[in-house]
Amino acid sequence: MQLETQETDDQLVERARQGDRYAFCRLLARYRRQAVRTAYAMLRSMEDAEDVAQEAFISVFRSLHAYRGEGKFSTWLYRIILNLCASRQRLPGSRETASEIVETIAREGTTEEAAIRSVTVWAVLARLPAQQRAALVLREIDELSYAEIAEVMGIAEGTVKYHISEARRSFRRIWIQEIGDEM
Amino acid sequence: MKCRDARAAISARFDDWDAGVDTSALEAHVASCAECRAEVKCVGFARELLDMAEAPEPSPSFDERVLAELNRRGWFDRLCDWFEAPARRVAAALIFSGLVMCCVLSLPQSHATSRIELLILQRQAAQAGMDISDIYPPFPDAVRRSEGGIDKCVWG
Repeated sequence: MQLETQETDDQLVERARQGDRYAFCRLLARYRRQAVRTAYAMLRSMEDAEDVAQEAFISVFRSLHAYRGEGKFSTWLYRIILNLCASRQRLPGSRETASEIVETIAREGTTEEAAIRSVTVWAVLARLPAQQRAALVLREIDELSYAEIAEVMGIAEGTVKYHISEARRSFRRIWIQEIGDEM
Repeated sequence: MKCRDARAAISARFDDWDAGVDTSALEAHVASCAECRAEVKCVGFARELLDMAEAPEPSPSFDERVLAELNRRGWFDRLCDWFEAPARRVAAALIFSGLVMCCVLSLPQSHATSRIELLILQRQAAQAGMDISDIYPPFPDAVRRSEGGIDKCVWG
């Protein structure tokens, strides 16, 4: 039996550029989870997150000709996602926490305690300034390096360092204000 | 060292990123600053909580919806997609310009001829004992039929 070799993103992009829909589907399968999670962390709404991720993949498909392989494909995708999130930024208090907890329990099949903690984490994250939130999400959720975050956000690595540091500090401060000094 | 720089360096080191900060200066600052000492202990706080948070998964129909949206796009959208590439835009502009040039060059010359040119042609034709339409076929019928000839006609 011949095993299918793991194609790199660049190889898949090249094939997708030549009109291979299967290659695009492979990219979609590879990045859909990260795309939705990142958008959710930024927007705190599953509906909006899926819309943004969907729009991002369509935008990627439309712009495949522009991809030169100079940066990573994932970096390019994250940049599109962040731009789309910025254009439909919700207000931090726009969600009803109670309904969000119920939704989380139903969706993830988790315990009430875990759902409350998750919802609180996303709510605290939503209260950070947009740049800090983006830097922290890309670092902690997507596990991007400082150089990659700088490329996605179009800022210097040194600025990324400050954003992440301030985001961590603000996150902890808001958490303690809201919940107390416990996890 | 300022507290803000020290905090940024502590955070960057937590991520194993070379903050380019003098280690001894950072250690000296942390030893003398209670707030930054607290920062060292709490730098992983957000990560721990974000790791514990349930991150939502995409719905099972996500891929289908993306592909359906790509297939749903009409001919105009697809044409726009095609023209997204700058090279294609340039090629299309060149082809269009070429077509316009061909059309212009293939048009009859009658309207491009001035009144004076027609008078000259008419004189040349008279000298040769011919009609102007013999040497200049596009000569408009309206002019030929008009009572006063070229002089009474208005040319655009």
